[in-house]
Amino acid sequence: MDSHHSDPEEFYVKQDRIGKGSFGEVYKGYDKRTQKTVAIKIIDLESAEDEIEDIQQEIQILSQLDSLYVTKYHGSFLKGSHLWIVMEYCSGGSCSDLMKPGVFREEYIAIIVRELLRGLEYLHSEGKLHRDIKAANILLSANGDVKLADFGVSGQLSGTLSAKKNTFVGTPYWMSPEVIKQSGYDHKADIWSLGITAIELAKGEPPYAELHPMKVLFLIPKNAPPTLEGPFSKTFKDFVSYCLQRDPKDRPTAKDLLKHKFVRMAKKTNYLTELIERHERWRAEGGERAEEEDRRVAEEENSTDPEDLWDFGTVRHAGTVGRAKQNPVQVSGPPLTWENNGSIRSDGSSASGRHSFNHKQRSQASYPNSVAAKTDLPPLPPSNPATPRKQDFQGTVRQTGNGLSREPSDEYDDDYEEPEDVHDAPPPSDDDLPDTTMLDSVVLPAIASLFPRVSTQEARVALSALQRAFTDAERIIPGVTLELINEIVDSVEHVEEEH
Amino acid sequence: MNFFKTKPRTPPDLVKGLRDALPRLENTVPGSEQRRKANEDVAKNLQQMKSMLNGDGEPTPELIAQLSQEAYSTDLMHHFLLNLHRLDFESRKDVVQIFNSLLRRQIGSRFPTVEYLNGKPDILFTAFKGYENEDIALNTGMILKEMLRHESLAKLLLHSEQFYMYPHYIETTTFGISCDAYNNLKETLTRHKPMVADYLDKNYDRFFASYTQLIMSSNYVTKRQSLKLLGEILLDRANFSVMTRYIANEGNLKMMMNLLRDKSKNIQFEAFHVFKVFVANPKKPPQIETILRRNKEKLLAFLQNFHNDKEDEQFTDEKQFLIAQIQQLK
Repeated sequence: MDSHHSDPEEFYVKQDRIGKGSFGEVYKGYDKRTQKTVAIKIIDLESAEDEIEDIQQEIQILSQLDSLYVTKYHGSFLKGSHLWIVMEYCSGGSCSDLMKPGVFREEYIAIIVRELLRGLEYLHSEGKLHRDIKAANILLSANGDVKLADFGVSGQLSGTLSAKKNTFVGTPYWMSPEVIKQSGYDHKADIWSLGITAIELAKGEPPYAELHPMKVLFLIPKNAPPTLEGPFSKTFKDFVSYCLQRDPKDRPTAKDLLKHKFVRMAKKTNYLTELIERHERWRAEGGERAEEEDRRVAEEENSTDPEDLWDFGTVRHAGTVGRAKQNPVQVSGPPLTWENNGSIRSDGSSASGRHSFNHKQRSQASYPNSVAAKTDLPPLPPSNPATPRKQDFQGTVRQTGNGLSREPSDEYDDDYEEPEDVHDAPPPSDDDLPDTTMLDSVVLPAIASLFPRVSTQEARVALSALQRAFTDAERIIPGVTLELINEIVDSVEHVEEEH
Repeated sequence: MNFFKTKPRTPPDLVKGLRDALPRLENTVPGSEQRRKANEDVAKNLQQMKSMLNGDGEPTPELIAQLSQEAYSTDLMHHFLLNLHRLDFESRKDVVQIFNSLLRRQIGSRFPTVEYLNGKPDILFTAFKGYENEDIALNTGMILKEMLRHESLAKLLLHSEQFYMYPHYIETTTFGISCDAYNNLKETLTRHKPMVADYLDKNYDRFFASYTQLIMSSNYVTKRQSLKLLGEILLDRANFSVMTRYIANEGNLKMMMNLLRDKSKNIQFEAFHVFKVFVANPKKPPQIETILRRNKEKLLAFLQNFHNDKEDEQFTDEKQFLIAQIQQLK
C-alpha cells in the first residue's frame, strides 16, 4: 500500500472551485471509486502560514470525529507541496449563502438550532470545542441535514476545532466575552456563539456587524449581552437570552438546551430543503448575478475590508504567490515578519524560533556558543532568551498534565487526548496566559498587514521594529497592549459621543 | 451513553467480559450477527472501564488498582492492540483512552503500567506496528506517543531493530499517518535527551545512514520536517559530540549546500539552520574548510541574496555572521 506515493488524483477528480479560504481553495470533486461527491480543500504547505504540525494536529482531531452533525473527514493526501483534504460535500451550501435571498423564518431557525445543538452535544462529549460557530460554518446537505463544518468549506483551518489556536483569526462578532478576554473558557463559549448565530440567522447579521471588528472586541466584554429584538416569538427570544449570558456558568449545556421549548417544537430537517429551493429560485431569477457583482466589488475593495486585518493567510498568500518558481534563490516579496519573530506566537512554533541557536528548549543552559561568541564551538550572534511569557505558558501546561511533568512540546496534545478536561476543568492550554491576545491577535497582525503596502526595505524594517517594540513592551509589562488599545478605543468613543 | 451505567460491575467482571468478547471478534465474520453482538459487548465493557478509570461516579483508587491488576494479569492491553482493527470507530477511541489512563497511573514516583510494559516489549512493538494499518494507525499512534513519554519505553523502541521502520512508515503512508509517525520519531529522539545522545553516539553510522534517507526523500513534507528535526537534534547541547561528528563530514556539508538551493524556500531555510553549524564551527576540520574555501565567492554571493525578504533579525544576524566567517577563509 504505497499510498503515500499515490497521487490524490488517482482517487479523486477535482472539479469546480466552490470557495476560497485564506489558506487555500476548496473544490467540488468526486471519488472515482464510489462516484460520491466530495469537497476538496487544497492547501499549499509551502506558502501556508501554519506549521505543518499544526495542520496535522487539526487533521488528527478531525479524523477522530464521526457524527451526522459534523462534516465527515475522508482523508488527506499530498501532491508535491499541496495538501488535499477530502471532506464530505454538502450540496445545500452554507447558511450564510442560503440567507442571501433573505433571512430565515423562525421555524427554520428552530430546526437548524436543534441540529446544531446535537452537533455540539457530540463535540462537547468528545471534549472538543468548535470555537467558530457562525452561519458560514453551517452547511446543509441536499435533504436538509445540518452539518457543522469543522473547517474548510467556508472557513480557514485555524480557529476551528483546534487544540490550541489563536482564536482571533476570523472575526470577533460571534465570540463570547470570556474568549475575548482570554480569561479561560470551555464548551460554553460555543453556546454563546450559537446564540449569536441564532440572531444572525434571524436578522441577517450578528450584533455589532456594522462596527469595525476591533471595536467589537471591546464592546462584547464591556456591554450587556445582546438580545434578540423584533417580531419573534417569546420562546425564541427566551432561547437566545439563555445562550447569551455573560457568565458562562449560567449558560445551559447543549444537552440542556435541547430540552428548551424553542427546539422541542421544531419540525423535521427535510423542511430545510425549502431554504435550498428558495436559494435556487433566487439564483435562477438573477440573484446570483447581483451576488457575483457584490463579490467582484468586494474583491476590488479587498484592501479596505476590515476583515482583512485579521486574515493572516490572505496577506501571506499575496506575499508568496509566484515564489519558488524558476529562481529559487533570489526571492523577493513582502516579508513575513509576524511569523519570523519567534517570540510573538504563543505556541512557540515559529519557523525561525525553532531552529535558532537560542531555541527555547536550549535557551537556559544551552550549547556554549549561544551564550557568547567566545567559547569554543560555533560562536554565533548572541540572542535574546526565551520570553517569560513562554515560561508561564509551560507552567500552565504542566499543571494540567495529570501529574506528569510535560515538556513544552506537549502543548498541543491535551485537548484531544484528555477530553475530560473540557467538561470540568478549563481547557489546559490558553487559559491562564497573561492577556497577550491583544498583542498576538490584533496589534501584530495589524502591523503585519501593513507590510504589503510598503515598498522599501527600510519601511519594512521600521514596521518590524514596531512589532518588536510591542512584543518587548508586552513581555516587560504583560497586558500593556490591551490597556493601550482600551485607552485608544475609549478616546475614540468619547470623540463620537461629543458629535 | 448513560444507559449503560445501571449496574456497576466489578473490575474482574469487566476485564473478563472483554477477554471473552475480544476472541469472538477474531472468530466471527465481519457483518455477521455474532460479530455485531461481540462488538456491542466490547463497546459496553470498554465504556464501563473507561468511566471507572476516569473516576466517574465514586472514584475509588482500590477499584482502579484492581482493574489495572486484572488488565496486567490477563494481557488485556496486548489484546486490545491485536484486535483494534476489529473494533468499531468509537471503541477504538475508548481503547486509546483506557490505554492512556492506565499508562498515566502513578503510585508515588512509580508508574505501574510502565513497569508492566517494560516486561512485555511486544505490546510496545504491536502499537508501533499499527502504522502498517491505516484504519487504526492514528489510534495506535496516540498510544505510542503516550508510551514514549516514559524513558524506559522510549529506550526500548530506540534500541530495537524495529526503530528503523520509522522511515518506512513515514515514507509509505498518507499525509496524516506519515506526520503522526514523524511526530513520534521526533518524540523518540528529543524527549529523553541524555539517553538519546548516548544512543546516537554509539550508533552514529547506522542512525544517520537511515536518517539521510528521510532528508533525501522525494516527499516534500518528509524532507522539510526531517531537515528541521536534524537541526534541532544537532543544536541540542546534549548531542554535542554527535554534532561535532556530523559537522566534520564533508558528505553532510555537500548535502546541506545542495539543499540550500532546493526549489522550496522552506527547505532552503531549514537547510540554512544546519549549514550554519558547519560554518560557525571555530575548529573546522580541513576537509570542511577546503570545501567552504573552494566555494568562497559563490557562497558569499549566494548568502548575500539568500532570503533577503525575511524580517527576522536573528536570521539576518546569523546570516551576516556566516558571511563574515566565510570571508575570513583564506
